[in-house]
Amino acid sequence: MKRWLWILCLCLLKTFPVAAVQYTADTRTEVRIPYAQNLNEEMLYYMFEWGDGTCSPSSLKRSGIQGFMEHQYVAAGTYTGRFCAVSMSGARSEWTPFSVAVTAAEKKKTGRQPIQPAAVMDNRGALSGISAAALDWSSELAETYSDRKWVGVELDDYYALDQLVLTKASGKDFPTHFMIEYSINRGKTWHKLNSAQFYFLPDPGTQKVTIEFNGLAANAVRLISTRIAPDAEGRMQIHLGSFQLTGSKDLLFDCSERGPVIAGLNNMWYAFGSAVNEVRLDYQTNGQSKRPFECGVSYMGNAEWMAWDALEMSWQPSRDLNVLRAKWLDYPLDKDGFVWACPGDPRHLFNNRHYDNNACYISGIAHYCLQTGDKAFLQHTCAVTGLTNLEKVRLAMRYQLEQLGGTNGVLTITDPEVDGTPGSKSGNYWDYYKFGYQSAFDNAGFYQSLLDMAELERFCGESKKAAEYEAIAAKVKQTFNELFWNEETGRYIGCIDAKGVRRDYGFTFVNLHALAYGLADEAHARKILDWLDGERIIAGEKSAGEDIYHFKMAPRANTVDMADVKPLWVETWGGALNPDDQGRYGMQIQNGGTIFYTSYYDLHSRLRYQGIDGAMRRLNVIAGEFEKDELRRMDSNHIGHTLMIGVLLCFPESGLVPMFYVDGIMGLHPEDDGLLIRPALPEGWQWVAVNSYWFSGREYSIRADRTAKEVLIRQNGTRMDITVPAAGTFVLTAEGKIVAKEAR
Amino acid sequence: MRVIFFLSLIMAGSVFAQSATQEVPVVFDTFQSSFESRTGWQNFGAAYAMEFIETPSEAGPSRLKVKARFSQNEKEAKLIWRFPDVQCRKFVLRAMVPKQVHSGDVFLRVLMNDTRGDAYFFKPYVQGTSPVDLPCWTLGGMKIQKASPLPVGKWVTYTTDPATDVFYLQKKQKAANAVQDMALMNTPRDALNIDAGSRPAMEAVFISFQIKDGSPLINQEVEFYLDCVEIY
Repeated sequence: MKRWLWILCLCLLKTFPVAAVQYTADTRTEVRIPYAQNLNEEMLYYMFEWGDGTCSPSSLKRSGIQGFMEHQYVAAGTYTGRFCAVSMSGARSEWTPFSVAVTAAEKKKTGRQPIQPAAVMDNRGALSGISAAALDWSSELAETYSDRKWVGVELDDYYALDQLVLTKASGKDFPTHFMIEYSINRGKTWHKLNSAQFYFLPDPGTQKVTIEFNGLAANAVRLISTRIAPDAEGRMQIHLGSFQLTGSKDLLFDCSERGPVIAGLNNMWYAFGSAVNEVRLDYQTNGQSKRPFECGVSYMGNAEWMAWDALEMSWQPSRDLNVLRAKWLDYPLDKDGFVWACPGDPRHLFNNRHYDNNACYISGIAHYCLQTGDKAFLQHTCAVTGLTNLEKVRLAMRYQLEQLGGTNGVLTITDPEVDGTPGSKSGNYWDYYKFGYQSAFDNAGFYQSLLDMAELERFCGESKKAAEYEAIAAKVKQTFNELFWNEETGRYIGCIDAKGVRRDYGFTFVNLHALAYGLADEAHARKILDWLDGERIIAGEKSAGEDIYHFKMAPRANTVDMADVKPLWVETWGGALNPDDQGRYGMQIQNGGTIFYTSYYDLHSRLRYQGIDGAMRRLNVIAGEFEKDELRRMDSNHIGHTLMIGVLLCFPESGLVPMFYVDGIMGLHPEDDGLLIRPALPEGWQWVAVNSYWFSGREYSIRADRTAKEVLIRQNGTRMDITVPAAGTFVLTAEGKIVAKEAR
Repeated sequence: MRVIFFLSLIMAGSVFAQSATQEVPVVFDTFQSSFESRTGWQNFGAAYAMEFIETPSEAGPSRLKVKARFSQNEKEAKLIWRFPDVQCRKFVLRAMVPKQVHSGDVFLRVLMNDTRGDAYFFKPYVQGTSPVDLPCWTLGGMKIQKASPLPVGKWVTYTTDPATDVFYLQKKQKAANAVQDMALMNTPRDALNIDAGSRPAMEAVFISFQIKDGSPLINQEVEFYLDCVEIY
């Protein structure tokens, strides 16, 4: 449509808000309608009536932000719908009509198959003889507005839930204040579906109210009241006509051992990876949310997150991936190859340069291109630099090799602001500590970027260059161990500052990154893991033994109290993080606190050096914690500072942890010649699977099975279903062929 | 081929309030679910821990226990309750100081933040005709509020009306300390295009149990209780 015509539409709507707008098109199955509404700055949601007998409330949004809502029409026809905004205190906009002509439609691949529940229940217990599809349910009378009344279903197994369909009880009001909760342990603990919290819900009349789950795994679901206002007769009660779930028994991450661990891994992905069911106050999956909505976010998009963003987002097509690709296409670099912290500034938080940017950029671009096969991305000429993206990646690597001296086997930061001394500034993602000069963290990332760059060069047909990078990587590995290993503590130090001082404050994340990348030999790895597991105590440190995993979900970031390091070796950010006061040990992420993402490296470290059973011991602890509260934790310290644990909000890297299922247990990793499949099944598991996985533009379901004797390939619609023997190593080529790589 | 249509709409519809049949809070917490409450509540200052306990109170089956340890340097046990952005016509809380605490030593103060980063210091708990001076530290310096000590051993209802009970308005509190404010608020709201004509919605309440200099409660372990917070 011409731009002027859209503007005309906007003007007409502005002037005549109740006039229906007609749309016609050849085919259409989804409608997205951006809108903006401000109801006294209150949070609000939108109620959409689609004109096909269904209506859907959106998740909560911030007032005054434009956004969208999607709907799947399942039959061709012309639909007249409308929508309105409803605020927290019940203020409501007028209804705005719209009309949609759907000339063709297709059903969602996921099915929407009705689920027959094993039991229907409410506050009083099981409701025998009652069908969820014809519930006609009324709660007990509530004594106060705050009484919680609920009705729900228990399922016979775990399901990847698609949708919940609710209807009004005959002659009764529909609940106005409620939320939807789900459980992965048959109701022992319930978790809130963040996108389904409603206040002052408009009367749906005879329409079906539909609520999306987007694949969430659960074996029980309920509707629970959050406020019960008295009706005209003064009775406080809620009612419901029907409660119908749709979904599939095929979980996204699936396995033979169906229990809270696999269900939790699925939901960890939906919470922290795709973040598809989280409250996005401004509609973006990477956008800000805020408390009390403790939400996961999907990606960050800036340099230091690029490797992680690419790892999390490249294996599934999504709007997020498109946004990221667009951002990366013209990502700025300096002329010498230094990668900027964000598109607007080379400095981290406008403060100073971080020297892990380049490695993260290189690893991220390499992973994205290998996973998606997107060579057009590499050939694109950047609007900022005038270089193709392949030239940019090579330039970024050259910066590491030449400007930072990496060709000699170690990156050395010569920036006087980042020289690792107490008077300097932070030099990498961990921006509280003053990593600089020769930093083990930055060198570990450099090492990995060399290996990733080698893969990318081979992918581009440049085997000679690839070999050169691998040769440098071997040199870096040797130098890394010579420079950074501390024989006294039996672990890697953090950095060597410009004055030659070796900084070892028990950095768990440095050691886990190094192990996950394979920098250590077996003996060093054992020492490090023994230290972390509390089997080897390092005397005199603030945290030792079991206390290192005090937070259970991940180890403390450092085991030496930074307040004991004098002069202070931390960036106190105006005093707000000072370890002598506000940032005291255990009260600040970067002084005895933790960031959840490090568990991804922890799991890979254990897989590499202890095998899958060692990794599973750690994963089972994490899954157990997730089962309690989905790790929606924002504990605060004595000044109300909540940056003690990094899981939610500005930590999209939390989505790495469930990715261990994909690249650890399933063993899927894109390389230059195709997708490596090297499964590592836990003891007792007969098979593992990921049921929707995209590689090089095609969708696959990939299963590794102990009972499979040979590779099986079956076309399933547009998806290809592949089963491989669990003990083998295979490569899936871009053309969809499987070849055995090597015997195990 | 699927065609996805975008319709940009600026909704010009009028806003009208939905009338309630009976006065019921629009947002509240009665501490019935620890998992639900935990994401909205924080303790800090002299308050070092919170427990959501299923002990009946006046408001229902549950209550929030706040553990505090006062010191010479920290004379306030503070809580933050965060809720979805909402207009606040009235704020109500019910609190109890246990009998073991010396009568006359604990004061209750409430501060509310709006979505623009402004902070509203409300009147403290006042009962009777002879309130005492209570110091209140603001970015504008120390102010003196008139306050009454909380009675011990019984539930007290504190009500404030944001329209009339503001003691001191502190503009743009969030600009004071970028890092700490990020931790407290997590929303750089100044970047948002908020309609200047609309009234600010509220997003958080700070509840403070305060003692005075020389209080015998200094270096003592004290517990406080809340059984309900409500926004009308």
